[in-house]
Amino acid sequence: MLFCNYSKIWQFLILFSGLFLFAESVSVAQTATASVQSIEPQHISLKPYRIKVDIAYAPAARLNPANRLQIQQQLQQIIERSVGEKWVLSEKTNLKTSDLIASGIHENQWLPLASGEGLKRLQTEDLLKRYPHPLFDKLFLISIDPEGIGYRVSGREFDSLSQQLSPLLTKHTFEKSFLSETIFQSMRDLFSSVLTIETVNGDQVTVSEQASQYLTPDPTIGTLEKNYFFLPFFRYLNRDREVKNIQFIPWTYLIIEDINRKYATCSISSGLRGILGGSRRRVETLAIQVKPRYAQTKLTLIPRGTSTQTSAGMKVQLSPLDPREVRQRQIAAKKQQEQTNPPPPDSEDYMTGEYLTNRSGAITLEADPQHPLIWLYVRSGKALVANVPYIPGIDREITIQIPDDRIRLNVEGELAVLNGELIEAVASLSMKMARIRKWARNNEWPKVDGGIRELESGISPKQIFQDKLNVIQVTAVEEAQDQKNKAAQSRIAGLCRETAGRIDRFLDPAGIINFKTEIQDLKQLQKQDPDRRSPE
Amino acid sequence: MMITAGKFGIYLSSLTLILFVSGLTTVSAQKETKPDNKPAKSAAAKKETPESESPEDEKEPLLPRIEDMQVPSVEDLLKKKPVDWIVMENELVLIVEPVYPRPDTLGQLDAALKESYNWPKPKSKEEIDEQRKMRAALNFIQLTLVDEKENPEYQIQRKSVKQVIHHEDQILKRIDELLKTNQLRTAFEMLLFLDRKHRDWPGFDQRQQQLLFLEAKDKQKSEQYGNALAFIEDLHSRSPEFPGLSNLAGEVIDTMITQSVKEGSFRKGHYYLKRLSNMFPRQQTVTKWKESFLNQSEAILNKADQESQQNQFQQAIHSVMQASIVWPSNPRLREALLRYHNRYPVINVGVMETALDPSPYFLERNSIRRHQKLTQIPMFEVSRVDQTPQYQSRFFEQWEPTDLGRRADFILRQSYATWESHPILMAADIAQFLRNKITPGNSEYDERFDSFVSSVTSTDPFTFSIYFDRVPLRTEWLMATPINATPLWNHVSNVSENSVSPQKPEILVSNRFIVDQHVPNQVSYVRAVPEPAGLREYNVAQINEIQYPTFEKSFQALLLGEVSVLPFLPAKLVSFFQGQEEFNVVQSAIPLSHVLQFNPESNPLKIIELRRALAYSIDRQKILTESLLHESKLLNGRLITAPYYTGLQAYNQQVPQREYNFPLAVALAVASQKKLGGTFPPLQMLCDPNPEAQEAAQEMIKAWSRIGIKVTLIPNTAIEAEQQNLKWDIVYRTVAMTEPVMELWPFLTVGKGAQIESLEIFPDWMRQKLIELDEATDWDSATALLKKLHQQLYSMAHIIPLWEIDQFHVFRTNIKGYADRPLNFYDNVEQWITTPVYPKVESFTQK
Repeated sequence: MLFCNYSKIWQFLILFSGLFLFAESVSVAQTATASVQSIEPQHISLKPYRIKVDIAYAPAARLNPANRLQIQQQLQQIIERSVGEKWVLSEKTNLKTSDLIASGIHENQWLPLASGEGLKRLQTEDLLKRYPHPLFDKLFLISIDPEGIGYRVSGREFDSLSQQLSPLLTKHTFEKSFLSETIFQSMRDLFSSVLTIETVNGDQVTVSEQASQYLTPDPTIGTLEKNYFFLPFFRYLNRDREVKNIQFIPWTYLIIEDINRKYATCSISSGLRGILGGSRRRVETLAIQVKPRYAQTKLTLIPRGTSTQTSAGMKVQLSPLDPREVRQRQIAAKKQQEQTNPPPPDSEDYMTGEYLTNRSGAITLEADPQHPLIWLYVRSGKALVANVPYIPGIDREITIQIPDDRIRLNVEGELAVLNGELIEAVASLSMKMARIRKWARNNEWPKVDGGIRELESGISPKQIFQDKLNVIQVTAVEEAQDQKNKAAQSRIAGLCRETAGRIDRFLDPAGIINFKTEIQDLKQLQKQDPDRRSPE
Repeated sequence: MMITAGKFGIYLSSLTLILFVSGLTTVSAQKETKPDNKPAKSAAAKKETPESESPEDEKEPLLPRIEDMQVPSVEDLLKKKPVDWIVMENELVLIVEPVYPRPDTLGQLDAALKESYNWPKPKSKEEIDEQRKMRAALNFIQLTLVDEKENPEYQIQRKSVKQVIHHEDQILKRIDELLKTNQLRTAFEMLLFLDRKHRDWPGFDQRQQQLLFLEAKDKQKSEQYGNALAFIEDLHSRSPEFPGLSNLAGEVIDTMITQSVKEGSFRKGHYYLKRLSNMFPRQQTVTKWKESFLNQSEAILNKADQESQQNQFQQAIHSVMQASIVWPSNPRLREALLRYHNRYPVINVGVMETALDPSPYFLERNSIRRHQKLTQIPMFEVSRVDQTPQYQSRFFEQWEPTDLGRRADFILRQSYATWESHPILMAADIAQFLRNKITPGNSEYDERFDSFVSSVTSTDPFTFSIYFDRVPLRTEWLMATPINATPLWNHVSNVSENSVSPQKPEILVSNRFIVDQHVPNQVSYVRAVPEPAGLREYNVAQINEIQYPTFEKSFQALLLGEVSVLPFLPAKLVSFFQGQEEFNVVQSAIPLSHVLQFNPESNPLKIIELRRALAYSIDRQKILTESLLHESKLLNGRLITAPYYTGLQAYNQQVPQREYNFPLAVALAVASQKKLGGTFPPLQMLCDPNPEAQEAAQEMIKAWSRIGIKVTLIPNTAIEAEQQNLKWDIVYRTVAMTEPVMELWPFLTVGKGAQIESLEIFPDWMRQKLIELDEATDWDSATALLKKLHQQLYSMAHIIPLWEIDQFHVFRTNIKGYADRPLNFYDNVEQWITTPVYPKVESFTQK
């Protein structure tokens, strides 16, 4: 009897879903360009998550309608028992809308391929077309496939505020009766909290979590903890408070530092400056929780703009420290060195990893549960061309744009050669001076005079080196100007300044003048006391 | 014989007494006018005589008898004053200082006396008296008693003297004693002593011959047959008929030949046999061994005949060569050699090391280059170099780039000439191999190749296409790799028609020759696919690389006919061979560049001052001209500034040579020493086994020691080769690059290949330059980049290019078909033709 009732309900659902699907396709067509509604002006901490669960049963799983209904009922019970009011599964819906776009647990009959593979292929756009005006905050897309003697439960989470679709999560169970439990575990793991950013004060941010006022019966579910990471994003609204655009802030993460029921305090870790500061009209600033879901992330460096520079063979360093801390450590180390004069410390001991990008300009970053957030230092010679934080494992692949640094790098090479020649010139000069000193000590004054004449007769080595340096600098700066690369120009100027200083220091004409004076003094002494012989 | 001073006084008085008592003769004192001398002397003697001298002593006989005389010991003979023994007719012995004339004093006196009767008749009384006096003097022997200080000189009548035993005779007696007791060394010393004392003393030669004979026997007993033979030959030259010598020589040589034959060193056996036959041509041993050798070689030739009947030509020629070694004088040998050599030509190549020998030098060296060329045929190979390399392919009939270079279509040849020695190559083989090269994780994966190639497709058995991600600068270079995979079509004739060896190595698609046998000091290579039967003329079927410890030995082997080719000929010896009709000297198309490179992991050498100091302290010009070329004109060698051929378009001629500057080297060394904390750590240098490189390395080590840098050369031994994590700081390399645009990267990374990871050791700017060079898409920019890099590398002393030396190979004129200007030694090796060289019997018996 019960089975009969269930089958009727099932037929009813199918009939309505067909109608709904038809209506939906029209609606998708009509609202293809329409944006999602903004969130209601109720404080977010009082607003429970409206949860919708769509479960796709693979035909090969051989789950009959009764099984399916049982799974859904059990799942609902588990959610209510474990999460309580924080997740709302049934809500009074607008009469005009179908139950199928509202919260609740439904069988997924629209997924073209009712399996984990089908879920994997799903794109955010597909969901936006399907749910242009969602009446849920979180949509969990679940599929049940047979696997061996058991089942594979796959799931993805779609967050309606950020319009983010999470990567696929897969779990296994061998027993049919455990399917609802396994689905719940998947949902628990997939769930990512949403925050609104209340105030920004320097590097500190005050945030409120959605539904934070509702405590969950099982405290391990949906509860914020310290060192949780959030990815901030902007929701740009129009005058009707409809969402025009959603923009994620790149290379920026919020890290939970302190929590109470209504507010939490986060620190910002960002490769950009002041990105969250300032108030914007009709812009909602939110953040969604991120967790490393992949074992590794492929990071690819790509040239910025129209640059054709290869990104192969570039050095990428990893560090748990942000640039400010690194700078502080460097300054402290320098001070310590000046005070105690110990051997120079290894300036890069804070680097925990160093990679060279492969021929495609990519490296693979391994996810580390102990230190999820790392800082990437992308270097080109002595220059730091990119410096951003990242949590490896949150994406399968990611790209980072790097500026064209070829001109400056070439200058670095040219200057390395010039410095080598400078060393030779200095060594040669000191060798000649040492020889003249020796002659002077041995009273071989004609040779001394000849040596000094030889020293003075040639073109000043300083002049030669300065000319060479000028050629290098001017050529490179002109090239950078052609490319309108101001950063390169200033960096080239800095590099050349450094070398010019070295030339001045080592090839200062005053050195030769002092040397001549020294020789003159020696000569005077010899005249006064001809028997005197300078000690070797 | 110890006689005290006191006793001499007694002797003197008793001497007078005895002579008078005997009444046989008259002994008159030289100074008879001083008769009081004797009592005085006696008195003095008495004074000196100790009181202990008892009356019993006086009763003793005053002079010893000859039978009581002991032969003086070696020490006495050598250290004491020489004395002669005058043996009287009454058997008593007078010990005197050496008497004259000697030797044979009595004989000479008798002869002189006899001669005196032939004197001219005296004309006057004075003359009569004079002659009488002189004749009378011949009846006396003048003697000086030993240790008689006052009146030691006497004369004794000849008649009373039975015998004079000279000091030399005493030495001979002692030598006889020594020879009897086999104290040969002391006997030899005594003989030398006697020879110095009096050359040609009667009896000397006999003792010397006796000594040589005994020495030979002694050496034979102690199994030092070579030394024994030397003594025998020496004795033979002095006395060919010395009794027992022939037998002894036969015994010794027989043992030596037996040993040599046992070791398989027939040439050594022949050599000993020749030495014996030179001394005793009719000796039984000579006949015995000649017959034995002939029989053995006959048996081997018969075996060769049987093998040839079974079409086992490799074994047959091997047997004939064996027979020629066993007995080169066999009259059947010439015909057999000609027959089998024509069917299965074998070339012996004299080398100093083979590729299969372990060596601590892990980089490419001449032996490896030879081995690779001989065993592999790349899909494309450089045919000639005219500023840029020109490529050819053995496998492709046609290849064409399409789609603006993004695709290349290849059509394979479907038939091969009979002389070609590789299996048939099919498109599927190439496609499979190239796919492996672009599949990460595969053992054949090649990062660089993968960066160029997107995919490979094969449409029919002899056609395939390559799709490129990146258009390569030169498709031929990218494909200049051998297909190191077994043929998918496995029914190639991979079993030699005359091979019986069941364990042949696997034949790969691009094998030209394969290693057939590796024994100590020799590696044999045979064709991967042998030539079919029934041809009128056969090309070389087997190459034997025979290893010699030094170039001199290989040079000797070439002259003796043991080998027909030398792949390495020092530039200084070129003129010698150019004048020989028997040999052809062939110059390689590109020279070998010699370069010093530093270990990127060596901390001291990260200091630029030290690298520059090392560079400035080498007088390259001097080492090149004086040590390597041995001539003032640099005809066969040139100084270089880059590790590749100066004739290439990519070589930057504008880079000035770094002149030798010792003072600057010292100044830079001092500067680097400060950076190193005051002392230079000892540096280890690894060097190419090339003899020229080894010689130059020694010179450079000397030069570096002059600026205070101690560098040790790692010996090229198997022990060093076995060492794990061999530490080295400097490596002396030899390279022959034809495509520096592509080859510079793997060269600079010192054996780590052209992978991005391998560039980690370089500064960022250099790393980016190398990548940029690798990714260059047109020749102009690639050449410009390379020239710039050349300048920077040289200036920064990351490498120290030294010189390039032309490579020469020597071929005997019986070999034909080699290239006029080969790029590699084994270029065109399948088409080499050789005619047999009949071994020179004379040369086989030379040591």
